[in-house]
Amino acid sequence: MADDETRLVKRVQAGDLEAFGDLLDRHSSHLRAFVAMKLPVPHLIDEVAHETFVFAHRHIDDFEAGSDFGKWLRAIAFNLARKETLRHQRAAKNAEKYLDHCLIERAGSGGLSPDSPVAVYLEECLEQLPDRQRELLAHKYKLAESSREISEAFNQSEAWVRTTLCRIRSSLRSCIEAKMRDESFSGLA
Amino acid sequence: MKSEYLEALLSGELSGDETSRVEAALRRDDALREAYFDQAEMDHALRALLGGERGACGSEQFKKSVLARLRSEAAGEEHGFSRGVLTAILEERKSTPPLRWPDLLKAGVVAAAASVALTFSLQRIVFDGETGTSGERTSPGAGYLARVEASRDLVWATSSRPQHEDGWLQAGLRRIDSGFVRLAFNSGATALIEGPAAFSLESHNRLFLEEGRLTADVPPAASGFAVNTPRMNVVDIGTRFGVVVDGEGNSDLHVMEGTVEASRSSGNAVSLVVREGLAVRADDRTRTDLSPIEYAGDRFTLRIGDRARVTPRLHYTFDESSGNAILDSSGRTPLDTFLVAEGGLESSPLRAAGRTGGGLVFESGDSLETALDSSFRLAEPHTLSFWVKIAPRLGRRDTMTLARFGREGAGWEVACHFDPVTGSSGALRVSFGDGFVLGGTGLADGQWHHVAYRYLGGEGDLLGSRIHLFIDGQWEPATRWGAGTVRDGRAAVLSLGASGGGGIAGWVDEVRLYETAAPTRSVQSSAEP
Repeated sequence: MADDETRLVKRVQAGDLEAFGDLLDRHSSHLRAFVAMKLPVPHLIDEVAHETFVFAHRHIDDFEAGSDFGKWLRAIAFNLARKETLRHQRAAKNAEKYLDHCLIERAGSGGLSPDSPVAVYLEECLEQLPDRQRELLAHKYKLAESSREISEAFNQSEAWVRTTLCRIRSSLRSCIEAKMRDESFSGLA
Repeated sequence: MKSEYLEALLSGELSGDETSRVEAALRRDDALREAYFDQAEMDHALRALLGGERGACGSEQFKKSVLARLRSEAAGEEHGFSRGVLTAILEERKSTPPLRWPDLLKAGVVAAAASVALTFSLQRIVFDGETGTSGERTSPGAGYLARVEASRDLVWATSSRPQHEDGWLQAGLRRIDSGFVRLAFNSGATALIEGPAAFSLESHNRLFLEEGRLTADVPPAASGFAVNTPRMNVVDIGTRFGVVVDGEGNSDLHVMEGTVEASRSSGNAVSLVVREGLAVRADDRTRTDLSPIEYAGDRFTLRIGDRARVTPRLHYTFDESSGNAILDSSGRTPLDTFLVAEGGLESSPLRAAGRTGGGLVFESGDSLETALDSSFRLAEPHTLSFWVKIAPRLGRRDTMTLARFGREGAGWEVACHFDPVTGSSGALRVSFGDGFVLGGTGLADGQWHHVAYRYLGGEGDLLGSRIHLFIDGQWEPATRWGAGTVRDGRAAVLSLGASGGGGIAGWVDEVRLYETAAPTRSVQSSAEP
């Protein structure tokens, strides 16, 4: 897997754009998940992720083939998200969208590090969920169903669906934070 | 507050009032707000991770948009906006050889256009480069592109009024302060613009809307009609659509009928096919795809006044089954003529099957002449159209006269031009004296073709800028032209073929002569299959 990726990076460095497409296939959902946790404003997630890949392509010669490409992407995205946060702070008119404004403000002070493969942690945490909860998330995110549609599929109330989704997300968040703590402890050791 | 409300807010499942109440609670309650943000982060992360190909931001679509941008930048020497639109505008304006990126780089134009804000600047450079308010130029590429067909409560901004008494408009930026104006492009497309608005006519089938509101109605013959805005390119595929551009260039497209291809004008220029009943927006985010928005096509003004209807002053169908008389079916004072003129038996065309019903067949040297009354004048607006079928031919460079409006050497001549060197196999050529305009489509292929030319009127060195050619209902771009002076005088006669030799060898049907510069839609309706 790592060897494959190294070969892909070398092909991109030689000017092969199709190989960059393969790297996009491998990393785009993880990177967008990372950006989503750093800067959870829908229209900025793809914006920052898109710009991250374009930046990576332009600077691919600076990347050392064989090292962690995902981590490099996260570092780029982290800086771009920070820039976006600063730009937003200068543009006072954006404060009109109160919740987006707060989310961006919060992103500027968040503790998420590019060193943390949070999307990988999220996948691991998803694996640990009971089947029924994973099924609920599939209805919500893979099938993009509304609360009403999910409630019919599960023969539950809409309130149950919404409350359960919040609980699952909270537990996933706790799981990720635990993994990040473990990571920092192992780093200290 | 219960957590279910946070989920409902994230999912957009609250009504307007409920949303306001939840947002008010979030403003008051710090802990609740933190809980909401935690939920939002996880929600978006799960959407990105599990969402797969669903929705506008699916993985495949995301990949496509990134790769399209990288390819576009590679082609454009790493400058962050699509080459197509702005350079096409520059090229069309000048009718000059195509611009190359190095030319633009030397001019410092491209570097200045790297951001959307500066793209505005470039557009202003484009606007200012050719004002369209100065004197007429003689090349067909610089002529009149559209005509004011109707208006309601219209107030033009200073210096934006049409330059021609009949409402014809040349290229250039115009502003309307208020009211409505419907422009009929030479292609047949119409654009109903609602003021206040700023727009620029760019070609016979393209408009730049800098700000304002527009409804476009595009017949099949004008398919490809394009509306460019500071942030969006819209190309029609035979339809009706509305575009709104706000003061910052943000552009909304609503498709009322048919299909439209839309893309951002800079950054991620991946095009999107937008179908009837759908709407998209291009805002200042240049890297993402166009955003779907709520359809509001019913809010566009679709109509102001009736379309101009014109009828020909002379119309020969040649459907009489026999006899010498050729009857004018225009319904106005008849301009009948005779198939065989006195003493002209050897040089008369014969009746034959036409494109529909009867027609005439000509051998070289045959002609049919109609005496016109004194109202027909050479420098007045007029339009001549007919169907013609000419067999393919090989051989020398020459010109085959199809029709004349006026006397030989002192009037308008419609001809087919053959040139084996340039590959011209019967291109439409309309001339007056030494001046001429030459189309590019070959007519000599053994098939019926509808040909027409329209003169907007006026004496002087105006031939190039005031003449429009049409083949099969479509505006025909000029491939070559020569300067010439149009002189007024009585037309006196309309001839089909040429009695002195060099005339058409082929078939003619459905001849129409208008004493006006007929609207393109009228030309197109007579060209319908």
